[in-house]
Amino acid sequence: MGNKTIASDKQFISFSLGNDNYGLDVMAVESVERLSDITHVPKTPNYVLGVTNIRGDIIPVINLRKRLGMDDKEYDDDTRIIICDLDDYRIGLVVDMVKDVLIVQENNIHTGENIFKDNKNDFISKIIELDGTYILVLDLIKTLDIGE
Amino acid sequence: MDNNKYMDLFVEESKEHIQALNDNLLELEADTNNLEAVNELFRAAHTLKGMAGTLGLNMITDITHNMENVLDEIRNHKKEVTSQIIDVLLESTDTLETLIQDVIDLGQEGDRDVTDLLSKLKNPASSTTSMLAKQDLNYKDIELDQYQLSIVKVGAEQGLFPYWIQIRLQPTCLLKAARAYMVFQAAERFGEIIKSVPHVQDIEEEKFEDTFSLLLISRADEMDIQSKIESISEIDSVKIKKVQFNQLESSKNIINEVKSDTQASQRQQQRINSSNRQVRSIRVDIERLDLLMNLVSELIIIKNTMEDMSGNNVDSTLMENMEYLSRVANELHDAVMKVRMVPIELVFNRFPRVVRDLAKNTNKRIKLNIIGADTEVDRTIIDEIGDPLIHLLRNAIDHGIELPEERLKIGKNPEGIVELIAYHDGNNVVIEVRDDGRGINYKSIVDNAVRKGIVTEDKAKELDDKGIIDLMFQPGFSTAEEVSNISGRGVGMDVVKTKIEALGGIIEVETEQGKGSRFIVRLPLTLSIIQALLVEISEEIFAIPLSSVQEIIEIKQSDIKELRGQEVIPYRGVLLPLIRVEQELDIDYKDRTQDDLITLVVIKKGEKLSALTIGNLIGQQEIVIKSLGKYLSSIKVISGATILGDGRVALILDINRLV
Repeated sequence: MGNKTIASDKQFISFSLGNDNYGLDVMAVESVERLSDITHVPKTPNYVLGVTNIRGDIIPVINLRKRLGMDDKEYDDDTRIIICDLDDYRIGLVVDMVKDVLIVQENNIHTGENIFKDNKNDFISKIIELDGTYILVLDLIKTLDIGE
Repeated sequence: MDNNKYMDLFVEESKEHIQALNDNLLELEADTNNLEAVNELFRAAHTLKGMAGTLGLNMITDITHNMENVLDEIRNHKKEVTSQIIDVLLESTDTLETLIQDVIDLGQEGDRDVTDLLSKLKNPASSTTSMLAKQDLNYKDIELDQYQLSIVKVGAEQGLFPYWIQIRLQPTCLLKAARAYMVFQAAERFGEIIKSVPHVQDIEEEKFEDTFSLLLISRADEMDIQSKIESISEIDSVKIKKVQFNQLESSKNIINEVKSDTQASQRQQQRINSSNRQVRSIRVDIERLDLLMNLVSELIIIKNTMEDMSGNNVDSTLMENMEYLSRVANELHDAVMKVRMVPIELVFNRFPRVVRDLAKNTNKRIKLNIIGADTEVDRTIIDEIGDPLIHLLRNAIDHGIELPEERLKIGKNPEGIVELIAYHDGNNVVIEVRDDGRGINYKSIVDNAVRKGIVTEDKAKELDDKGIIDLMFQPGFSTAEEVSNISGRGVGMDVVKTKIEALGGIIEVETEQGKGSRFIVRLPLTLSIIQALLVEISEEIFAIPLSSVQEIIEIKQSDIKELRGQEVIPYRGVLLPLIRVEQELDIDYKDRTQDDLITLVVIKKGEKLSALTIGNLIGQQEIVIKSLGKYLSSIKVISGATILGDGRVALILDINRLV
């Protein structure tokens, strides 16, 4: 596997939540930020942490652990907010740690169907196989519950 | 791409031309002899045609071209201004507007069928076209043979200018040939007549309608020639043009207009005059203003940050400079705000036309008075307020104003009056829609609301007048069956209210039986930077727009009483409902002991006062309103957010929703 990008290669940002590695298509990611003050917004679902100020823009922040039904974890030095830009939505996702930018060949990307028993796989669109490890690619539209 | 830029320009300017068409058509309808209006119309149609032609917008070009034809005939007194013509021209204007909207939405003309309209436009024109062709100053008539051409060429070398002169005799003229002869005589005093249309022989035998043309070469000034010929009696009009023959050798005599005819030059003069007023203004893309406003917003946030930082500092120079910075920032904000302000005329301009159509369709006679059209409001409001106002006007005309016979019977002027009034009131701009109609019938509102299931009959009995008026603004109150084809949008009063509230405004209604109604729309002057009261509620900071704050009071916990489950407090001799913000926001709150003093903010929404519990008062600050973004747009009690001096985000309470 070479390091050169070819047309069919895709790039993903990988991050960890608990023991699992997740990925997001770089095209949907705007930036990665350190945690800053988050203002709680009333009358929102419990996984919505609130809003934060990213260089003058006000951006909603989501606790991804809670959204995916995992236990909450104290923030630490590795905690990051991944700012995603999806159509008209700009949303921050709080993750345990951001790891790497991966260049993945098309044939290493598998569909996520029929792997998880319950509705856990609702949020997973694809699975990447990389050097014997697996990375779960999030379907942002379903994760954020936006769109029709 | 350049074409795109041109397209933007077209979209921007076309609105003005559509407006000009509408305005002047109404003027022409009021005074059918208003030639100035006809000229304006022609100008607007012509400019649109030119721009649309360049962009390949064929339908717009076709329509404007045919409008031009009709207008030209009116201008040359070949056609009377009838109400049919006005209607067809108004219809054309509407179609143009639709087509232009298509261009805005799709980047091109949609596939609408305009053939009907085109034939309507052409039809009145067709009956007179034969006449028109002869009478119009037509260069194609000037076909010279080699001999005539050589004369022109030789003349040109000797400093003789070729003039194409079109003479129209008065229709009442009896001895046309004799008059023509006199014209020939007069012209020959200036130079040599090379050609005439029709031929001299035909003219001598009176074989022409009432128009004939000459090609004259002369050293004289065109004005001299014109005035000389005009001095002959029974001449209706004289048009004269200096022409130039390009490529004299070629058999095709291409003639270029050197000087426009006198009418055209007058027109140009008028244009110069009218543009004189605007010479000192420039056209700026609204996006650039938005950018400027954003930068000012950033500056104010930084200013707030620095004020926070220097709060405990005792250095007097620093404090002085901080104050200076603060003052400059505020002045800059005011200046930018003023730049964004435009007269509400831009919206009001559309309404005379709307009211005319409404009056016609409802068989009512209506006089629209517009007062305060020069009142300035923020650009954002201009873009949003049009639809709600149209709905209020429609409402006033549909439901308020009575039919002329009915008005006569009750001793009113058969012509109903609808007034549109705009003025500034403190930090608000107020727009009122008034009518002198029958007023709002409370009973029919209640009946309708009960029928539609908005309120139960029992509940309705308890409602006071204000409560009944509120029913009008409930979703589902006005239904499609009541929406006439005029507005065609099918929006109800609830949409009007929602839209006004989205702009941070409120709507109030006053009505008197038999005398009329007033709908009062109150909007903030500016939408992006406001003065706000910062308060702390359960360790979070919230902002309340200062325009909604009446007073801050402290009362004892024991003063709070409960009436039928609603907590109330005494305030200046009246009882105010108490709103516990923590509850409204679903935040945990601490119970206080009975003698604890609590701080309340008395807030007003229109005339209605309420008391709001808050934790601690922080202070007053100029804040920049930012959107919470699309993801959180469904939260009702929060209208937006702002960034505080320390970089944290504070939420802005939506008072309209809390009360």
